[in-house]
Amino acid sequence: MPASETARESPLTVWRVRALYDHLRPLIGRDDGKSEDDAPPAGDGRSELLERTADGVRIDLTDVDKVDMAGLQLLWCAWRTARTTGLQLAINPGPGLERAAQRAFIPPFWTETST
Amino acid sequence: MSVDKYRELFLSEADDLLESLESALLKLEADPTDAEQVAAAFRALHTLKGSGAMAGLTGLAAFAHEVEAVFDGVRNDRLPVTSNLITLALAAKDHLRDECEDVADPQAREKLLVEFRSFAESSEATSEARPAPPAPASTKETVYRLNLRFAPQVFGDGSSLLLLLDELGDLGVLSLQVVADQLPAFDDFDPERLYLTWAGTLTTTASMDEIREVFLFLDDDTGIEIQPVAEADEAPTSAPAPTSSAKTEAPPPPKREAAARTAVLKIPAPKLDLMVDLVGELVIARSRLSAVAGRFDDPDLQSISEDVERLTSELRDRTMDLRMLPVSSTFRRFERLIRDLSKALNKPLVLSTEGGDTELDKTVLDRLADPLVHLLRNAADHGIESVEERQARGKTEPGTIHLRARQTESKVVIEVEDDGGGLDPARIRKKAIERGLLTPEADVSEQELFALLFEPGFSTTTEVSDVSGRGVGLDVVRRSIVELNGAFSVRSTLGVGTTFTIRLPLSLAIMDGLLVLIGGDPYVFPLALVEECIEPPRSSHGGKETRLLPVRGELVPYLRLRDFFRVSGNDQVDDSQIVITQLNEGRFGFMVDKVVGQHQTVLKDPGPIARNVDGISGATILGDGKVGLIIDAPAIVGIAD
Repeated sequence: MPASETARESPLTVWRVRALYDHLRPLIGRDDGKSEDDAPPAGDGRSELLERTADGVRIDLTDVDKVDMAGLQLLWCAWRTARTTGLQLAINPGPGLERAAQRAFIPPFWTETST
Repeated sequence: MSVDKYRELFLSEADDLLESLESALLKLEADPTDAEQVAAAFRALHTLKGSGAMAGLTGLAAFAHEVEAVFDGVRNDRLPVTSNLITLALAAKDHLRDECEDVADPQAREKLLVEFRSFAESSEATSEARPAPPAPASTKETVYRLNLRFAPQVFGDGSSLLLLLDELGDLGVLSLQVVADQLPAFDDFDPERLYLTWAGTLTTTASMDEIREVFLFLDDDTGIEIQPVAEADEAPTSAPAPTSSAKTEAPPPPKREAAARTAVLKIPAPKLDLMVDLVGELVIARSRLSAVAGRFDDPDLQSISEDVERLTSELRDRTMDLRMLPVSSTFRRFERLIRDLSKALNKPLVLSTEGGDTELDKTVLDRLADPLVHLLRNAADHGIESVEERQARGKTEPGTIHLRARQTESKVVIEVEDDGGGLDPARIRKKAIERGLLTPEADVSEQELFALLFEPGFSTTTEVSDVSGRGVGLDVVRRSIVELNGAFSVRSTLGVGTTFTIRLPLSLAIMDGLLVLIGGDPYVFPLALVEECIEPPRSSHGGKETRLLPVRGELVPYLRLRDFFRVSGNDQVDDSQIVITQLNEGRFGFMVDKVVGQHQTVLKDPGPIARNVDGISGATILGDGKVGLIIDAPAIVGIAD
């Protein structure tokens, strides 16, 4: 199995959220001097979830079958921030995200466009 | 949060719950085997009970509990879905609304409860096929208010919050709302820190200690607050209170509803009205700025003016959008109305709705409900024939009433169409002659005869029923629609059916208008009424009477507004045009001195002087500060007739 597929199928839990956050921050955060060059190198298991699109960023969780509260909170925060900054953030949910949001009473925020 | 605040929240939520309950009951009546609707009705009742208790409405909670118990019996196949149950449950829903509005009749409440108990007992006694009811439950349900503030570092403790919430849900029915107001922007976000909190209720038979046990392994549980807020009645022996295992059988689980609600922010309508008023003032100020900027050759001023114009337009659109609601929110109520009318009139009736996602300003929508009720009642009572008549005409047995909505550029068109007997022009004519509205020799078109139906007290029916036929209705409908700056018309074919059409502006606060000049003064037509503007024929400038104008093969009557408003000055105006409008009676033209163009009109009270002037329905303020009067076209035609 290719390395990237292994990474996509691993869970998005508290042990992994720091890595995803570090990849996302230059893309989603406000312009505070950070650039994409500040993102950690690919291959740490989370950058594979991200994809630059013509007008923004896509997070693909289609194959991620487990998301915990930390992962959920990170994604929700990213989506809310993207809304305020005008970035087009698309989240492709997988069974992990949908199940976790339902269990945590969090609305399916990814169904709304981020801008 | 105070009890008052909980009550306020509950009442805003109760509307949706009662609507869901009614919708589920009506669907269940159509298909008594639909388990999803049984679960939906049960969930709505359960949430009303739990949230009502938390809001201090103990009477409501106790009543909802008894009805819920019956639906628990239905859910567990101990009780059947019958027409009688649906009728009872709909009455219970009405009673719950009365409880919310604090106008409930205690005697009606007791009567309903007796009927529910009688239904449960007789259904269980006569049901041979069903298993015997389970042993009486002896436990009491308690509603606990929960406030869950886990420690920020909880992720590092190794605790799984999702599992904790699952365990809590296993104890009973858990209804939580997530609070995200501490969630920072992404730059300030620490991915290993918890910012979310939860608040809500748990309805359970478990004790406080058993609930506390769920949080036993947290390093820090000081932010976990659990308080009993109400004790539900003893669960009736015939219908035990729901258990967690029963809850999980109901698709989809209540959790999803709770989660979906957090995506909606409810704002009291008066706050929104104030905001719309302020935006209206801003639109006027923008017009003034634009007019002033046009007088100076200053690029900086022009640039600022253009920016303000762009931003104001966007703000106006976004603000107006906040007030827009889908018409389905009103249409849904009519399913119950038609169902009740069908039973009262002993006629099979079907309501078909289309275009429910068409949006209208909340104020317009609220004021549209009563006229639509009139039209639907008329259609059910007078429009749709009896079963025997329909059979004789070879029609399908259930009469169908179509309720349609669609949006055109600046209008919403709503149609109420029935496939009944249609209007009888001969009968209307006879009645009009009897009432002195027509002379026997009068030569009037079918459309003009139909327009007589909108005269106060005019009714062709010979029978007065509880539903309609008192001659109070269509004139009220017309007046309501005109007050909304809309238009109302009817078309009908004898033996085939009747269609009433309502055309409405999208909003009442800011309206698209057509700005015209008469004697140098500005006037505005509601654009929703305007069809087109055409050049008048050369011979049309003189004379004060209503004239006829050929418009694509049809003769359209028109009059000069200069004459109507008694404007003095030069009669001969080179730029004059005729504004063709579509009114109840058909097309009608109004000659004006000049058509300036489309105008965003912020509606203002015309003040005591102009308020009662014939032919004027309101006022607006233009960019140059002048007051423009809004033309009441239907009233002018009525006076001219």
